[in-house]
Amino acid sequence: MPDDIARMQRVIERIDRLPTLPSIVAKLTRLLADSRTANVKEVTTLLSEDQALTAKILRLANSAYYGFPGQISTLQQAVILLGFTGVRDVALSASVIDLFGATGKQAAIAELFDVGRFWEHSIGCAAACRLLAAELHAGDPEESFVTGLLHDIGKLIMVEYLPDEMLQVLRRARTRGETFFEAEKGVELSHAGLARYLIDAWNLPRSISEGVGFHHSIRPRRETAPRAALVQFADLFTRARAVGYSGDPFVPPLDPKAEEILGLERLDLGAFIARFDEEMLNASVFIDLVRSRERPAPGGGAPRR
Amino acid sequence: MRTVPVSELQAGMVLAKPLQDLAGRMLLTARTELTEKYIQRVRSWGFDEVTVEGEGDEEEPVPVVGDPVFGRPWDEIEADVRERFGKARASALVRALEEAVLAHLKGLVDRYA
Repeated sequence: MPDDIARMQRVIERIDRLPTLPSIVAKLTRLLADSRTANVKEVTTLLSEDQALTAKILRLANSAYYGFPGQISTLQQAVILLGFTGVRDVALSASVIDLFGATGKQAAIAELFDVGRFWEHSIGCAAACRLLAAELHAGDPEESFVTGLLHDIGKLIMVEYLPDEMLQVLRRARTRGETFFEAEKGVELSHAGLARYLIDAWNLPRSISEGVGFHHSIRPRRETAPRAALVQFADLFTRARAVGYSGDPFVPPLDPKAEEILGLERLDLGAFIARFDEEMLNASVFIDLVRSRERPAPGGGAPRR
Repeated sequence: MRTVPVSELQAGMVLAKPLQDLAGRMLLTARTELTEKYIQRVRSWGFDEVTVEGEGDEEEPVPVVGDPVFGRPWDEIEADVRERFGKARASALVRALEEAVLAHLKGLVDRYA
């Protein structure tokens, strides 16, 4: 499977212009990664250079999702209440949705792969990651949220830059009753590998890039294995609960390694389902962000079911 | 999008927002087209008013979480769930999740439908 990554690297090098994060977010990630000495003023000064982003950060930070609804009126408050990495994660979430929110220009692809429902799935997976991380003490909940949000971003890279291959995978999955992951192997693509490459190019923490990159192929000896396991189960759970759509309707098999790494036997499944439903109501602010980016695709989206 | 008192609801109106109970459980999903049967239920659940789509408004639809449950026979809902779990039953934990999802959906149906 390392070949996977190498091959995806070659695929991605053919792509001229990879999507880039807003320069402010990129600077922020560097600032927070490089130094332990960042201060509130530095961070707020940097963010306030981008007013559209600031507005989105405040909108998200004020949603029920972060627990301070309607209480945050300045960036400074947001940074103090959410913390440096909390604000980074909010900024990242807003930017990524913005970056890819409205892809899907090919009607043939749009028919099989509705970008709005894709984001619904990603947001569901993100919310499940965040809940599971807290419940199972499996890493930072907010960073887990971002990892879940990005876990299938490789599929959007395919929509945007490899549309022929994407269509082939989607059709294959549909006609053979395969999962997207099974079908992409047939054309030697790896959405997880593509995503990992992009996320590395964005200089995000390795826990995010490997959490995304290995969510279909857990490497138990890696330090980041718990994150990848978390994403795998959150993805599975989101599909089990039929939230959104990411290229196929199936619940994928669970890798026993993921189960063991996370100690999933500790989870009360019934209670977790109820908490997840509640969490998704709070997460509707993210869905709103997607909707505000969507353009109607020619010929309309895929039918809901 | 406009808010309409339950006494003025008419069949054919479309919900602009999902209806949830106090615990946040989904009763009817957004974009549900109201029938007489639904309107009766909305009344029996004790809502005073609901938000429906207005003509020509391009309102942002509110997300729908999970399987559509209401107005569908249980056998059909269950068959959908069983089908999507078909590739994953090697794991006892996933089998338990399948039953938990079904119990959750059955709970919604029994309670409100």
